[in-house]
Order: sequence, then structure tokens, then C-alpha cells
Amino acid sequence: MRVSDLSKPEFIKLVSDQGVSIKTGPFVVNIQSPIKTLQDNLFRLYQHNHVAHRQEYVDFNIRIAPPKSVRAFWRPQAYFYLDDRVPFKPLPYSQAFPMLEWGMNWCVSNHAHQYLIIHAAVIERNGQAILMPAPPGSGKSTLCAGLVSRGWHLLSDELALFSVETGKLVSLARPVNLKNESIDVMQRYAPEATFSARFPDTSKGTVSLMAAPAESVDSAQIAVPLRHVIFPQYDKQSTLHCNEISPAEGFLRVVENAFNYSILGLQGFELLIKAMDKVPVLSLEYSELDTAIDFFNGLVDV
Amino acid sequence: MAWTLYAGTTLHTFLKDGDIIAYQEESGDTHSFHPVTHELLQLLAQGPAEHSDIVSRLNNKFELGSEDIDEQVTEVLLNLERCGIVERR
Repeated sequence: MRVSDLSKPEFIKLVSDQGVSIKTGPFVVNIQSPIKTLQDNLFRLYQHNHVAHRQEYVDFNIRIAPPKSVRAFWRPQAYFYLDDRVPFKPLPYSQAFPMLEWGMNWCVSNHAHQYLIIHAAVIERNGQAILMPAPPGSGKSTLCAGLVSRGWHLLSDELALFSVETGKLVSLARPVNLKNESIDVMQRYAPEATFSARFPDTSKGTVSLMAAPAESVDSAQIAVPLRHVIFPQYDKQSTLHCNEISPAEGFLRVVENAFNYSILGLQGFELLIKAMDKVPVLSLEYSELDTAIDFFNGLVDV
Repeated sequence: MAWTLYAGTTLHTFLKDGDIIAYQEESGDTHSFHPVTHELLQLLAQGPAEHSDIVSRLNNKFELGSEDIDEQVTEVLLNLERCGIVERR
């Protein structure tokens, strides 16, 4: 059963009471919250995701709620609870939904050590995955959203998961986190996509999330080999420009973006050596989405 | 002065298009080595070596020929020492 198979009142009752257990990639996350904006956005952006059966193991039990104090009424805040622990500071009540998204990223990157986790977007087409590690402000999420709106499958916008067992990339197709100007850009570029509300004044500026398309959510069980590593950089003055990076430098730059490389130790090193073997590493400057997407299509013979 | 591999370290190396990537087990650090540096480490893996001997053997193998080769090798050795990969004897 998908989230969209539930009526909105049924969904809201579930989230408000025992929580709704949603399958997202290889994880089952139970989300419980009385916050209406969170419930609304969750219903819209996770409509394609499957609801887990009641007896299925839940990886992360998350609750987002206001405190039971005067703060619930005066400048209200939202607290993120993982199994009743509060791992980080609360955020304004109005930011409950982006907090849920960032909190889920935190849960995965701090606990799922059956994967080597890289801070990167991953997209796939024709069974070939492209890894895009990049710092904030590089245009990674905008490019990722653009590619996904033009036929590429989303594996993840933030967390690339390399299975320790197989060395392949596993999907964690969740909403793409768009910031500031890129929100308008993507709403014009992909008007058919589903977007969350806008959340102003977050630590990242104004944020809006774009839902993962149904096809990406449906192919979430497929593991794919890495075929290219691309470090994107948006530059509005630039024409499309691509440079090859040496395998050793590329390897070190991927390691710099890893969350749990030091936890996995030698196992992480050997996994990445194998996964990146014969994989070209490129840097890409771009200013226009269409030309950048043509470039990506050329890499996988679309 | 003689140099040797630091006794308490284990390096796992992998060749990637001419460069060497190495994982240092004790520190968890990952390094990228130039082939000359890798040769230097292989040389020290056979046993301690004098600085002048290291320079001469690297020069013979790679025909480095540079006037400041001595300083360059010193710099590489000092970097490796800082990483806990080699030590002085």
C-alpha cells in the first residue's frame, strides 16, 4: 500500500496517533507528529512511497513535536526525537518539515554503517549511476532535480549509499532539497513536479523540497554500479566546461565527502577502491540546465 | 642520517593510473603518493637506509637529475614522518 492509497484524513490520523511507517530506500521510518504543516507536506511529498506493514522492523522511530511547556505557545519550536532522545537543538515550529528531512539524513548518516555513505547526489539511467559529491552552493541539488525531471532516476539528493556487501549504490529516493533561487528555477523547469511549501529563514535560507518521482521510488530496490563521478559547479558566467580529474585526486575528494569512512576503516577504503575502479572522475562547470543534461545523457548513450 | 619505516604502521596501497593511493591502518588516513614516494617506501620496506643512499637509488631509478633533489627527498621524508609513516634511526 502506498501513502496515496490512504485518504488524507486517514493519513493524518495515523501520523498523529501511532505514527506512519514509510519505506524509504532500504529503511523503514516511523514518523509521528501532531504538526499540521508537517503532516500536509509529508502526505504530498511521500505519496509514492509504500507504507510498511505493522510487523515490519522499523529502523528509525522519529517524533517531531512541540515541547510540553510554555514554549508551545510563545515562539513555538519543534523538537526532533529519535527513540525519545533529542539529538539536536529544536527549530522554529514552522520549519518542522525540513527538520524532519534533515533529521532523517542525520539518522542514516550516523547509524547505517552497513553502507559507505558519501555526501553526494546520485542519479541513474540505463543501469549506470553517476555520483555527484559537491559542497553547498555548487548547484548539485538543482542539477540533480533537473536531471530527475528529464528521465533520470533519483537515487539520492544528499546521501549516496554504497552497500558494504556488494559495492553497488543503493537507492534512497527522497525529496530533493532546493534552496533560494533554485526553487523558482525548478518550479519553472519542472512544473509537473510536486513541491513542498516554502520554508523561509532556515539556516540554509528559503527551502522547498521536490518530491521524488514515482519511477524513482519504484526502482528503489535496484542496486547499480558506479559509472562516473562528477563534481558539479554552477557558474552563471560559464559555458559548459568539463575537466578530467586524476583517479587519485578524485578518490581523495570522494573520501573527503564521506560520512563514515573512518568508521568503516580498511573496509571502506577497499570498497571505494573497487567501486571507483576504471570510473572516470570529472569536474563540470555549467550555467544552463539543458546543456548540462545533454552532457549527462551523452555519458550513458541516451 | 638513516631512515626506516615506522614500526607501528601498516599501509595498504593501491595503484591508480600511475599514482598510489594508500590507506594507513592506524591513523585511518588516506594518502596519495607520487610513484617516486612509493619507490622510496618500498626501498625502506627492505630495511633502514641512509639519506644519501635513498637519494642515490631514487636518482638511479628515475633519473631525477635535479640539482635540489636532496632537498626534495628531505621534504618528502619529513612529510612522511609527520604522517607517522617513516622515522629516523
